Amino acid sequence: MATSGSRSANDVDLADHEIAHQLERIIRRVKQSMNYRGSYSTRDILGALVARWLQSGEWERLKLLPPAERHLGESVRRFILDRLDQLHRRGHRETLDDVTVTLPDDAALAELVELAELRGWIAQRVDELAAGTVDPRVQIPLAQPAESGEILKLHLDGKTQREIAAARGVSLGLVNKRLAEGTSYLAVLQGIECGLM
Amino acid sequence: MTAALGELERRAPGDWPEALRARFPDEPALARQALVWLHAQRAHAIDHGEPGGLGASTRYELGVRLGAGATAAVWKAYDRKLRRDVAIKVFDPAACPSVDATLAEARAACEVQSDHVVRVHDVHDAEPPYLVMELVGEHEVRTGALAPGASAASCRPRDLWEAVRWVRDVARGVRDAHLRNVFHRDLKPHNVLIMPISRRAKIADFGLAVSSAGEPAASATSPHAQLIVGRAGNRVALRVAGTPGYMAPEQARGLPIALAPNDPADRATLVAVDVWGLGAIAYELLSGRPPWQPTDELDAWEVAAAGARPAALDRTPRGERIPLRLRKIVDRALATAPAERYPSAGELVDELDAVLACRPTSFDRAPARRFALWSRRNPQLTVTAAVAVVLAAMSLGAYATVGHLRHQRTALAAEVREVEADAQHLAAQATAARRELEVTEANLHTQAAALRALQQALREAEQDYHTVVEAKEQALHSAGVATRALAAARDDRDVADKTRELYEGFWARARKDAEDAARARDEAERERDAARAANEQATRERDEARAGRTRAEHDRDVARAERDRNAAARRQAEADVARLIGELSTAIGVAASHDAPPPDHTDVSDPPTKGATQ
Repeated sequence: MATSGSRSANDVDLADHEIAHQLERIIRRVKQSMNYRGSYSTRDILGALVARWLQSGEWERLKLLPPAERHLGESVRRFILDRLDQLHRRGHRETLDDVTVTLPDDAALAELVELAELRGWIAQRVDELAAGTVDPRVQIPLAQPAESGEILKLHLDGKTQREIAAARGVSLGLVNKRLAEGTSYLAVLQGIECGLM
Repeated sequence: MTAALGELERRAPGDWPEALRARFPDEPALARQALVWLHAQRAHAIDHGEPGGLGASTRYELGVRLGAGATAAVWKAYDRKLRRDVAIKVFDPAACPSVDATLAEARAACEVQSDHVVRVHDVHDAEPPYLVMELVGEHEVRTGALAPGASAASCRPRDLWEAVRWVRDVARGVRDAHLRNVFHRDLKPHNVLIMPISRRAKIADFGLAVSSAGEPAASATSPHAQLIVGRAGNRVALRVAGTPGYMAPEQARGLPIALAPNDPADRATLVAVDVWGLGAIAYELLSGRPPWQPTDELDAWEVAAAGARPAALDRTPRGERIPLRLRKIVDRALATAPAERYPSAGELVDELDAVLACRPTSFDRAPARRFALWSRRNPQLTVTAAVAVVLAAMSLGAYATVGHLRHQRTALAAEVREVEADAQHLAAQATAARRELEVTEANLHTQAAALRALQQALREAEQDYHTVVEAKEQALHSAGVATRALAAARDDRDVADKTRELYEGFWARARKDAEDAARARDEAERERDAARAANEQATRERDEARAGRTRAEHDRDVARAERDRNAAARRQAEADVARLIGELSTAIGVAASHDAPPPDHTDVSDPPTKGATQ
């Protein structure tokens, strides 16, 4: 996870295949988090609710507790129930007295939390990149960090490469190149955050 | 660094760790960063380039990537077997839950036979799962090249009516799908493809569709994606599926997973969701924004679930005013309560057809509105009818005018008759009056003549009177004059008497005076005779005087000559005297000079000469 704590690269002694496996996982998760969710499923709705739960600061509080005492699922469940209840009270739906909501298990919720956290982390890094700020820990230079950041923001907003090229008045190839550079930068930075390097 | 990475990218991924260790022996962290960078670049190239392949199939040759979503990418491909261009939707094995979902989508799309739905030709239900679909595109007339279509999200309508046509096309596709018990549930502009030339719209992506052929197993079977809501003993598994900005309110709150298209209640629920989706497409195409937009506090799906209403439509992004009837149609399609929406997509098609054809919709019930629409729909007929109405009106007007004129003419004739009768009556009255007038005039003439005669007589009488008066006055005057003359005569007589007496005295004195005068005259005659004698004497004396003067003048001349000579002699004498004086001065005295002789005396009338004076 992005915030599972930084570890020095020198402390890690993993075999190449293990490192490669973890790197692939990081890359896949970064790319998956960057994909625009056009159509939502229940899973995406739950992911959005978990993202709201993250914004509430509850996760920051739970992270200070030992894992055994966190009760992640219960916290998320309460938050989602409250949120759904608020929504239903806003609308004109029938009363939800005695209604129960069954959420996925803790493992699935943990995965949702992890993904929501990663999406938030990506959004922050892309904003920094668009402002021209490059993390100094990344030693591979970016040609145009601000341009890469702005194109990544449009990509996260669900714009196609054609739309981005048209909006910015650049070629499709350049958009693709900046997207590749930006994604690689985020993957490297996520690897650093995870203590793999 | 960039050049080195570019060089490594061209090598096999298996060689990268060794090559990086060799290149950065003292910088293992940098080597690992470079390794992640290379893998990420490769993953991006795979995602955005040609995938690893389509399995064992060699039938399709992938071309360019047309688009990508969260779970799949669509490629333009060539069907070698049928020798045609197709579109292939290749699912991401990591993102796609199962092959069943691919099959369900393919079956749902294949169920529908419509010109407004993208056809599915084939499905590959092994790894990698993919769908072979109709390539939405058209051949350009000039070049013959195949121009691909674009989604309505990126290819915006040229005007308001094109947007309506697109929604109508999509609604037709949805209607056809509903006829086959296929319900899309994810209608949005991104899933509407627009033909590049004919600008017709087609529905794509039946990934969330529900059909009698099978339920998409994407989330229904996933334990991670179930939201179980229900009362005690009656739990219902809900499923949220759709796109947040375009979800129907009940869809955002979650629909039961086990919806049966053949069940009337479930079918009504599914139809309402799709009708809402059609309204959402219309809303975005007309306004340029989706019905639901996230806020700081709520995500878009939460706004939808809260039961709010989308902001009211007013104008298109180009500034065109959206007609009221069209807004009403969209509002009804987007009604919060499913029961208030159109009961079927077919009714929405009819409404949009009516809008496009200027026919009355269900909202146009007023006769005036219907007539206005009919007029817009049939402009030539309207003009003809208008002309006919105008002509008929003119004819009626003319007829009414003629009738009115006739009535007026009759009335006028009656009036004329009355006026003529009145005129005749008046003429008779005038004749009688004229006659009376003539009689009166004759009488007047007679009376005038009599008057004039009277006036003449009066004048004559007056004149006579004046004459008499004048005569009397004259007589009185004459009498006065006579009286005064008599008095004067008496006075004259008295004066004459006195004058006579005076004259008589005078006469006596005159006689005496005459006698005296006769004597005086005799005396005077004598004196006259004496005077005459004296005069004659005087004349003679004058003649004598004249003779004496002539002689005197002769004497004067002689004297002058004598004087001249005397003068000369005197000047000689004076000279002699002077000379003698000089000579005798000493001898004689002054007394001798007094003894000198005096000058010659001449006529006293002669002036003394200068020399003599001197």
